[in-house]
Amino acid sequence: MNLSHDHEDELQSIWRKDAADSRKEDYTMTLQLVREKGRTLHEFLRGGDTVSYMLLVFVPVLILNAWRWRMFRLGNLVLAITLAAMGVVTWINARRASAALENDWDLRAYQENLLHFIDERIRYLRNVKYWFGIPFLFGLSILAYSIAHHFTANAWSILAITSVWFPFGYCVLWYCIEKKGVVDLKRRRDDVESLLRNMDQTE
Amino acid sequence: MKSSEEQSGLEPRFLRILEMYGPPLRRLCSGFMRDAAAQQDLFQEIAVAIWTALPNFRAEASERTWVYRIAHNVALTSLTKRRRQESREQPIETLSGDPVAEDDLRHRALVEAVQQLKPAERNIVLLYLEGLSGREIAEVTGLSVDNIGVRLSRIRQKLTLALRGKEVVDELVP
Repeated sequence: MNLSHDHEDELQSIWRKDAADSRKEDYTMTLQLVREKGRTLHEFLRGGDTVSYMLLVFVPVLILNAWRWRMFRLGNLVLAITLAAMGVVTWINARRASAALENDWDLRAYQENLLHFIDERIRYLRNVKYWFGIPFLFGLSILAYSIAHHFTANAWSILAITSVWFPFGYCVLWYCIEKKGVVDLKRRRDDVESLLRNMDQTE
Repeated sequence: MKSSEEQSGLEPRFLRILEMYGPPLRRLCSGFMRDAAAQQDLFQEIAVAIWTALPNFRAEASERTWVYRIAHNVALTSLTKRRRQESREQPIETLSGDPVAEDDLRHRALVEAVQQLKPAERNIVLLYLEGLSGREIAEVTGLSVDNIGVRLSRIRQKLTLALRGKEVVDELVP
């Protein structure tokens, strides 16, 4: 077997058949693309976490609206703090992830770290339901209460409007995390795991 | 974000790396992705990853294995993301009607055969086809040289059989 590469074997020469006659490519366009990508907001935000960052846009809106009624103010404040905390945690996590996954590691080390990273990400997503979901929905419920209280004096209507937000919102959040986010990550985990298994097999 | 001074020093290095490794990286992309657009996307992703990692590259390491490590890590990540999408894609298109040289047919058959391999096998064989030594393949993949030797001989058999099979079919179906 030609592992020392003193000469090209047949498969290698077929594979590299275009190496001699290929035109010289101009890579200045690629450099331009890479430079542009480095400047884009997408690169700064690191893709998958965009939703968390987009929610941050609402923080000043919520604060600006916090003057209206007392309960409305409290609801806005809770929502603003929760969204801001989510943005900060997402940002820290994204930085940690990019530091933990260096592209120039060998394949095995990279895949093992990727596996560890996916596990952490699943844990993080599941925890989001509690530390983000509960205060966020609590804030929404206070808002709903203050709005309902402003427009109606009927205690039962207020209770109905207020109480519907929490279970409904929690179900939506649970569905988004468990049925979409976690399932997708688990599929990716299976791929990485099967690749690592496959790398270990010699027979 | 890189400072402009730092960036201006990196640009010539980056261009030199692409000029040197561009063609093998393009071939690597063709081994991982079926359609031309996906290959182009992958090439750009690899270029971005090289650009990002370039400031941390230490000259004592082999540049060749460093480039291939990045390329293969990016390609594998991209492959797992696209796996479900690719299963719905058509196999590589053959240009019907045009007279195709025998060399091209063999090249195309080899590309198809490589694309059929499992990702872990593809990594090893693509490095081998680009002429990396067993030790270099071990450095890129993190596997032992012995493991690579065993796997490579099996993969080469598969590829040779696939090429022969293709030749037999071409002879039977003019």
